[in-house]
Amino acid sequence: MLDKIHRQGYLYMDIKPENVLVADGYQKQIQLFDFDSLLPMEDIKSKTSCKRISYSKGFAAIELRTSQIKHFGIHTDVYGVGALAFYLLFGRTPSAPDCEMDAEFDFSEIQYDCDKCDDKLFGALSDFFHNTLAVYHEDRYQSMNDVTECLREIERYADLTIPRIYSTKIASPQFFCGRDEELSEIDNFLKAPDCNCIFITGMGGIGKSTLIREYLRSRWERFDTILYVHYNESIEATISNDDNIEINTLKQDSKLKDGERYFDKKLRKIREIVRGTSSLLVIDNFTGDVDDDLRALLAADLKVILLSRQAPSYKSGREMKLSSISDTRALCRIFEHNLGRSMTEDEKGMFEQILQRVGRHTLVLELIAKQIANSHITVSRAASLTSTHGFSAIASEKVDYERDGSNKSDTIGNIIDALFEANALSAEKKTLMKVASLLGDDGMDINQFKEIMKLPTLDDLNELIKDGWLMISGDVISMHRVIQEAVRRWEWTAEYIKAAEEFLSYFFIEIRLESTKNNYPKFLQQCGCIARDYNSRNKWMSRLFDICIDRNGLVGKVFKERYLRITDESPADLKKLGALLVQSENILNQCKREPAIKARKVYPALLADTLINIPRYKEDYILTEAKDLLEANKSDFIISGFNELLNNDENENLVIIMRLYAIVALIHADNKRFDEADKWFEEARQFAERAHDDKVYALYYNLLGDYYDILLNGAYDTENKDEERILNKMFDTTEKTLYYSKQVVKFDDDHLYAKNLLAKAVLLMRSVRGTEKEVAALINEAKKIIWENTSLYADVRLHFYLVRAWYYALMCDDAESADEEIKHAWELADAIIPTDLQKIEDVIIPCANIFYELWHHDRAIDLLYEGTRLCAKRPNNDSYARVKKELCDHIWEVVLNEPELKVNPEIIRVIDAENAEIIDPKNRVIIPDDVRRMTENEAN
Amino acid sequence: MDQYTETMILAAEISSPDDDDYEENLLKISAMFRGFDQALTVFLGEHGYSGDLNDVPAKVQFLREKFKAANVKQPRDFKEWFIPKKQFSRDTAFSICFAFGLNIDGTKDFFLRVQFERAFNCHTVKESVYYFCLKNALSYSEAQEIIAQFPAQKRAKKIPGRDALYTKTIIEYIDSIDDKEKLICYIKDNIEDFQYNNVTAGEYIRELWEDISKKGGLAEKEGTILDRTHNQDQEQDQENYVIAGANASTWRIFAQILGMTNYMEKEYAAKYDRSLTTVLSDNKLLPLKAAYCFPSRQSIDKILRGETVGDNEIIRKMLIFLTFYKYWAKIITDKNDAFYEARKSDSVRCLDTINNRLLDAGYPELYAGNAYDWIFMWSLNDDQPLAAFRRYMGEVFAVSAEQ
Repeated sequence: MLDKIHRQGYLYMDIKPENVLVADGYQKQIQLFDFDSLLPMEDIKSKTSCKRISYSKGFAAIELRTSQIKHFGIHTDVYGVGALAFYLLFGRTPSAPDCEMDAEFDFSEIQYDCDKCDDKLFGALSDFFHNTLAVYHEDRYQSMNDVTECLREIERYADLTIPRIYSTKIASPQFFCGRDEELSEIDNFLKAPDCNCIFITGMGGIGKSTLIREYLRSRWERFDTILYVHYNESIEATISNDDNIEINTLKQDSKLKDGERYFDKKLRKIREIVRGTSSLLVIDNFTGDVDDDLRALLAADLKVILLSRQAPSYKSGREMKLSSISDTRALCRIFEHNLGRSMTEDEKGMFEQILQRVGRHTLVLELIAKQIANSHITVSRAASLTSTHGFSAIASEKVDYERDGSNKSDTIGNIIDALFEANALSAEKKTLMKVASLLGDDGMDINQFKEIMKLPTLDDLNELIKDGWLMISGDVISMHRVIQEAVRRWEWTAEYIKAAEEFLSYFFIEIRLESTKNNYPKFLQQCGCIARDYNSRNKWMSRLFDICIDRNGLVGKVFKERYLRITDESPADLKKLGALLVQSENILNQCKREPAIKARKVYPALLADTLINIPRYKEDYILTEAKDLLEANKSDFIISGFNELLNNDENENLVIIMRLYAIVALIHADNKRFDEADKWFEEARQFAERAHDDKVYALYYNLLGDYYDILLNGAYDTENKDEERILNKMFDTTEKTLYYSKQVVKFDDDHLYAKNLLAKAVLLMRSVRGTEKEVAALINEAKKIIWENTSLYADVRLHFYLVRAWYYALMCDDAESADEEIKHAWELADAIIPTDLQKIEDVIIPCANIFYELWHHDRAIDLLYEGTRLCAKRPNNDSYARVKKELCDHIWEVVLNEPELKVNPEIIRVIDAENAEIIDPKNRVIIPDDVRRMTENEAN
Repeated sequence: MDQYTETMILAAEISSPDDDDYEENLLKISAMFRGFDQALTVFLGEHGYSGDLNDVPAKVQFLREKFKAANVKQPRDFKEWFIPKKQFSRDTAFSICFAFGLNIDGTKDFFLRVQFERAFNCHTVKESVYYFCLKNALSYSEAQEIIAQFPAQKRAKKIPGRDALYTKTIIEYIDSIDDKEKLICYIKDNIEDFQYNNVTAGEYIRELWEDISKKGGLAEKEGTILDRTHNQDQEQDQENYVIAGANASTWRIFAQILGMTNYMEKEYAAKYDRSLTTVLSDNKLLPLKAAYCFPSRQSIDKILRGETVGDNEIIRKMLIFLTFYKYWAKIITDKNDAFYEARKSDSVRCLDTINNRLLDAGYPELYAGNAYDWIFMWSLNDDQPLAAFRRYMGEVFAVSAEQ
């Protein structure tokens, strides 16, 4: 009607309820009357101003209220229509803020039941009011056609008799960044005509829901209907619940035909409604399988996105695996947003540490940032606490977080507990998880884990992987750090502790067996064989043997395994030992935060054996851990199991303690930290006196001898009184070691007696204090003892071959025989020496010295240079760098002492190039100027 | 539109900060604003006075006759009405309206152009009675008779919270009746609601202030842009604009909106207890009516506390001030551009927005003849209205310093 008036060239100018007659009973019969206000549009053009024009308050546009006739137009009536609709809906006329550009309308205040209305209706109404009530006339619809079109749309949405699904109200993420690729990927999936089902999978808290909510926020206009539901028990229950998906013409309590399920009826209706539209259903936290109900749902004309920790097998569905956000800057922005401020450059460094500690887990990063803000701690402090105690123990204050679109508040620990709720897991699986939480980042081969945990099959582990509790890469299983944190929060039950003890015991036993295999005393091995033979014939003895083993705890377990392998005469498996030590180091690191495990005997036992056997280049780790262990020893610490057959008295592990002292003291001495070394030697001395044990004394004096050897630094042909004094002390300590080690010669897996006989022989030879006869006697005695008491692969045999080589070089000047011994030594070294570092120290340097004494200077230099090549593989490792410098110093010494030698310029070039790559200046090799000059002369 | 109004609109449209004699022009324009005396003379000319406009005794005689004819109580001395810079009470203004037999629109017009104030405040017994009488052509003496039936009112200190009666509702009721007994009953029944006013305006001001001052609000955002674009170029911090920042005090936000420099802000904060009275009063650039009830920290604090303020002009001017700032600050922050060049439509929309708020709250629309309103209308003609407003205020401070 208004359109007609406008087409006739008039403006109505007084739209208000009183001027609209609605005929009862037939709504379309609407009559507009009172045409007194009618204004010819022609008049507007001719008039520029006029006196006040009357208007109806509340229904008049601003140009009418202020009598700005030049601004009158169809839009003035448009305002009236908008104001009338507003009045009918809200029961009041629009206020000034309702007419502004940023006006927001609270539809909960309308005079109708707003809960029954679709969001689209409110969206359309908002548009309508923005385009009719706009304060500025040009912002309004400029024709009644536009108004009626919009009203028709509103009418369609408002008609409650038309079946309609109500779109879900979805809360937008509070902050979002860093997933652009994933958003595009979802776009691509949804565009594909053959794809109606996507599984977005990933661990809890990684951001699946946030991603999809952001997707819906940014693409809502692409869809006619968006449904977002949380999975609850089954597809039938989830879809049937009218609180999840509401259809205006259908109620769950409506009558059903016999045997008909509400789910089927509702699904039919959904199909009917969404046909030909663009509709999307998101099912969050889907934990079910693809059953007939889900298949029926997928057959409807709508796209379905299922958010799940794992994807069930369904060949028509696509899977999008959501991992952590790869863009560190995006994570930084998320962190800063939750922190409520920007970070300094220093803090960003700390943030990177936190990032690594939590495996880039989005939710945990958000929580840590909030915790920092709430608990008023520094980022640096949070990084440190995360590293030592785990992120859930940073502080006890609650933090706000968003879950399922609503805001909650709790401690980080509780939030993580809720996120990884494990009630559905069986007791067995929970035990596996608890033990697996002790694995380090490197994880473990799934079959090895199965073997250690004595699992009949891999089924439980495979299910844990499928359910997202464990990760698998190739054959290696591991646990995400966030899940690890959650599992760590489970209280240690007796069952868990027992399983963890077994787990650690495996490593203790295997390391102990492998590391002592080569040096295991022959006598004890023979005893074992006899016992086995005897036990096989006598059941009663066999049972007694088993009882003894059980009583001996860890020691017994080690022996039991050794006993089973007693006939195996192959050398120790160095590769296996190396791998065990790496795994053990990782596991022990994880155990540090577990007081329940640290309190068990197996923990210090495993730690001690690991420290004793771990490669020496891990100096920092050894020093830190050994220091703690030895500190503990000062109170009531006992390490089990030095020698499983000799004695079941736990005090025997005093030997282990002395070995630890030896390692720590010698590392300091090697690094020329002699004050520190002296301190540890003093402690070792006091300990030996307290222990009052022959083997411990033997070890202590042997250690002291090694220390003097370092102090003497090869100056056996002494040139001053200090050197003389040290050399004398070496003789003294060797004698004392011989005295104490002789008492335990048959049971000594260090073979100290034989070693010190050989050491004495070397001392006598190199200091030129002994006769050929004396030296030969010592070597022969050592040989007799070695052949009687050691296996083929005992390391003392390596010493023996080298000492014999010394003997031929120094006493007989017999290069050929010396070469023969060196060959034996090399063959044995290849089989028994686990690391390059040890090979350099135990074989390369002594052999080079022997060649030097034989005047084979070129061979000496070649061998030393070969040693430097082994070191060059680890240019920034302090231990290797130190040895490399030592090797080079030997080379320069040889070169400078023997002027006729030619220096290969290539060596200098290579060393220079390597120096340039070394970060720490102290690890760079210093090339003396004299050597450089020699090389340059050579080149010229 | 009378000639004066047209002149002032024109002055707002043509004077530009880019003119060479910009400061001088502003002073000239400022001097052109009428006071009550001049405006009344023009009004008399429009309502039957045909004598010399400068002849005060003749004008007095004309008024006396009008008052006598309409049986309106005459003031002691009409002559005072023609003394420049004098202000007169609303009662006086209403008595003139009755004397000249003005209707509602005529009265509103009188208040807009002569009194430079809101016409009817129907939240007072007296003015709602005047409204009823002027609407129904009842005489001044009849109005006084009705008013006499009610005891003298005390003004409430605070506006009631939830159940406040809006002026609009009172007017709607008065519009619907023509029987004075019904009016008397209505007032008696709702007497408590005649002890406060400005409910709508108070609500609008509080909402506007919330949008401006909240954390992450318009002042904070606009301040960030202002700092980035203007302050970076200044050599001395003293010359920088005040930037309120997050969680700023009312005064700091106020200082930012006005475009005060750090130097000014410190000066007025320390010396004058954060009051601008010394700058505004007797300032050549701010004629009496513009300086009167100029928005201040004290009045916004009072309004925010829900207290009634002494004069309606405080409310009206605050409403204009905050609506203007919110509008432009929003555009600047949305565009993230301090130098956003306003289109004509932006300015018209702003004008309509301010007017809509004013009318909704029962106040007259912006009027170019009102010196305070003119500053905003002049600013709206600039490419950068908010910057222009700040420049104008800068000139006000400069003139004050010179004086």
